[in-house]
Amino acid sequence: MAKTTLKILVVDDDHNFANTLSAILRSHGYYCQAANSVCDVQTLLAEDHFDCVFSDVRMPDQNGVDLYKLIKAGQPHLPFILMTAYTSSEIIEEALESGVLAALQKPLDIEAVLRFLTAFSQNLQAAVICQDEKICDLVNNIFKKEKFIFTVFLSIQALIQSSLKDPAVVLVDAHHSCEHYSSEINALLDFLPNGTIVIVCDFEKTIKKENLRSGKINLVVLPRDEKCEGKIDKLLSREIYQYAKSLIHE
Amino acid sequence: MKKLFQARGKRFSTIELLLFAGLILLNYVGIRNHIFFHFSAELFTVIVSTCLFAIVWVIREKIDEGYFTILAIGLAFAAVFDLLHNLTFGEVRILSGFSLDHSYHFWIAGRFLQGVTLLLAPICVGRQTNNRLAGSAYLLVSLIIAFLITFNWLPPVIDPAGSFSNYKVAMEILLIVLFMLAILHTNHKKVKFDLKVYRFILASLLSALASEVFISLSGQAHVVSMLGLNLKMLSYALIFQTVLVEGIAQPQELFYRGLKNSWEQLQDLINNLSEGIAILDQQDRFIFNNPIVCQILGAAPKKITGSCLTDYLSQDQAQKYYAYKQKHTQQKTSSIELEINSPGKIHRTIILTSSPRVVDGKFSGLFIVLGDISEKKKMEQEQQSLARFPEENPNPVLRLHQDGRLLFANQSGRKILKSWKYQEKKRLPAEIINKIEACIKSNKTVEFDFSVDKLTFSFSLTPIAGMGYVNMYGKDVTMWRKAEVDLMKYSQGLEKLAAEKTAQLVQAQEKLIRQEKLALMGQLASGVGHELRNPLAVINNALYMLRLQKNSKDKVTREYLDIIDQEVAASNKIITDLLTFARVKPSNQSPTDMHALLDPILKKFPPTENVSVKINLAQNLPHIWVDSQQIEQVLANLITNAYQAMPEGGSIEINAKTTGNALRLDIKDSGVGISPENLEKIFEPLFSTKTKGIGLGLTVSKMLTELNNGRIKVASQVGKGTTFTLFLPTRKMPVKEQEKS
Repeated sequence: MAKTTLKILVVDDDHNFANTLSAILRSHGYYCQAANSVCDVQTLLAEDHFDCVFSDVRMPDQNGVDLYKLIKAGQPHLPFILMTAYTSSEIIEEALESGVLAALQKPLDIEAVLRFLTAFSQNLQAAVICQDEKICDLVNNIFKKEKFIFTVFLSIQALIQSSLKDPAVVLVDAHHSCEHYSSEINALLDFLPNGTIVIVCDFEKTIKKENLRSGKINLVVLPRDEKCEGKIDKLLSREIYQYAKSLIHE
Repeated sequence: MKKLFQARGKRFSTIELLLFAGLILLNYVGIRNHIFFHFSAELFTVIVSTCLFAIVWVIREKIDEGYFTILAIGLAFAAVFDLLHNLTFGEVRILSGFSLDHSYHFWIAGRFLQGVTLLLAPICVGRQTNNRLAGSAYLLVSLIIAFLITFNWLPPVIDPAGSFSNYKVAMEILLIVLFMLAILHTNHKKVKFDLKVYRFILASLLSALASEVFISLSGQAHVVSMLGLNLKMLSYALIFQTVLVEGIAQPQELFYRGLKNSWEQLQDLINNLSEGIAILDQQDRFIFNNPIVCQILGAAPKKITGSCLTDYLSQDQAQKYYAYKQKHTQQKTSSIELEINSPGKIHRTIILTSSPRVVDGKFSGLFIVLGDISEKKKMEQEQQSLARFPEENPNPVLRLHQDGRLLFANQSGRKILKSWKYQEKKRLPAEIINKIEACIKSNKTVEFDFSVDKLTFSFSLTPIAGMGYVNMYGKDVTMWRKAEVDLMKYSQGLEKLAAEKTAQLVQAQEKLIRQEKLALMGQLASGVGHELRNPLAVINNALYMLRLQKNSKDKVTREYLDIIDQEVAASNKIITDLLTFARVKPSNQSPTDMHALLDPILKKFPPTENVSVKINLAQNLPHIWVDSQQIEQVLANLITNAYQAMPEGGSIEINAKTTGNALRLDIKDSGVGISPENLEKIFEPLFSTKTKGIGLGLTVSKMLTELNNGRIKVASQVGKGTTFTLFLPTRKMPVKEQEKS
């Protein structure tokens, strides 16, 4: 399966630690940057995009949790991992609740970290159900950027019958020849109980006419407008974050 | 006349002056007409005697002086003869058939009766006389004399010559002697007379004697005869004065005064009695009452007479009165208590004493005496109430004479006496008598306990000064005394308890101090621990990097890198135990697979040289509900401990089986074992037999096991090995709070 080189940011005021960890990660083929303060991080973030952040908690000036809050404001779904010498503390508990993926204990179990990163490097499967090629290209571009492997299907039925297993995301272009497709989408929900299904339609009202099974949290309906692309982008970021979270706790 | 004697020098009363004037007029006429004078004088004496008799006879019952009645009777009969004499004397000759001789005879008879009467009368002084007998005697004598005179059986007074006969002279001498004897006799009885009466009597007698002498001597001499008649009148007047005024009127006056005085006293007494006195008729109406009756009955004083007694009683009280009256009052004196509830007045209790009033042998009502006994009744009730007071006391109260006799005992006291057999023995127990003596002697209250029939009484004897007895008050203190004994026992027990508690407290304090030390050390250690982890982390990273280097592939390098690896892990474990001990995280329990728990531990802490690990876990073991990290820490501790217990090598055997709601996990090593005295202490913090480590591993293991609702046990034999047994829950249990022993 295709693999994207992850860009990793390591933050620790202890130069030796930051450098050694960076060295290990680089030696395993990851793109890694080391920073020694929150200030450094801000400079790096402005210049580059990162897929994952490893940060120490106790640092002078601002600590790891403060850093997370800072990053979250701009990139709410960036996987963020804390490293601490402490067994536990209230601020760590708080950070975990607010979205930090994990708090790893120092000394790090390097093997475990590497296992996580290996898994996280894997591209995610995505399906696009679309007949309009232009839109397919557009979507494909987004997906590439987000390290997704996408497969285009002409219909939902075709997706279900294909060999593609458990796509993380299914994007349905509702500008579809069929007028009524609720039964198909319901079938898709059964086929994909955990994946996120995004339906893009011309009019939100239209979808409301459809008899869709409600209560499914993984079903998102988006009106086709200017903001649509940004929303899809966010959804995909969240999908990656969720994926990372599921990996780290394995 | 009275005043002539009694009040000389004083003015005479009108009647006396008139009498004087009459007398002078009579004498003046008498000088010219002797017969008229004689007639008048004799008539005067007859009238005086008759009046005297009439008065005396009428009031004879009231005269207790026999002298006066005899005098009146005797003079009355004498007067009859005097009247006969007067009516036949001289030229008067009113009664035909009688001669002058008869007239003189009548005169002598009259004087004779007068003389005899005056002579005999003093015998009756101060005596009651039988008037009928006296009258009858006088009548008989008078009739005999009258008979003798009328039939001329007496010698003639005037001889044929016309002068007085010897008979007359003899009779006159006899009469004079008679009067003289009478004077002597009267004088003889002088002491029996009232002095005044005596003087009058004596004057009268002397007048009568003088009168007799003058008349006897007068012969035919007119003037002398007049003088004699005057004296005779004087004598009769004096008698009259004596008998009526001094003898009857004045005593009557005195008697009346006395009576009046007595009556007034009586009335005063009746009116001022505190009891009401009344007379009721047969219909219970008031005939007489004193003022107190009105007060007692609450009746208007003017309206009470004629009103009925029952008018003042309520209906039920009236019924009571009638019942009482029917039963008692006609026969004898008896009493009844009645309640008076007059409106607007206070309630009264009265006592009515009655006795029948019998008039002419017939029952005609009641004499009643009413007494207001409200106060008395109230006092009686108070007294009774007061008297009941000791009797009502549930505690024994006795009054004992100083010689040991019982004077009083209330009900409770009698019970005690019964158990002392006082009735049979007639004496109190010797101990009590001794106490009484001691009490009297010291004149102070004596208190002591005394057992009576399984009960304990606390008695206090109080001497009553001057009364010769003591009052004994008791109280059943059985329960108290028992409680006291119990209390004593308890207090002794308490001392023991206090000693135990103190020891516990000392222990607890020591423990506290130790804990404080530990806490302080914990703080320090955790600070140090955290700081050590950072360099360890860097070492760990660096070590990993070294392994990646190409020149690290040779055997020696790898061997030493492994050693560094192991020591880093050991260091980290020490730090982890220390930090866990300083601050235990709350356990985050979830179903955990034992296999998944054990494998990483053995990877992280591989068996040391010559040590074999044998894991006998069934595949279908139930999940345990624990915080996997914490239990991992426990197992790591136990396994690494086992390694360290076998420096010369050996085997570790891990067995698991389910028991009830728990999974039992035995970790058995074939190491050096733990001595019994150390076995007790191995879970205590900072206890260690090893040169390595700070002695927190087992303490933390125990803490974490218990935090996860498990138990840890140890069994060991020196030289043979040690077995740690864990019991871990296979069900969800409530999460325990962190507790540090």
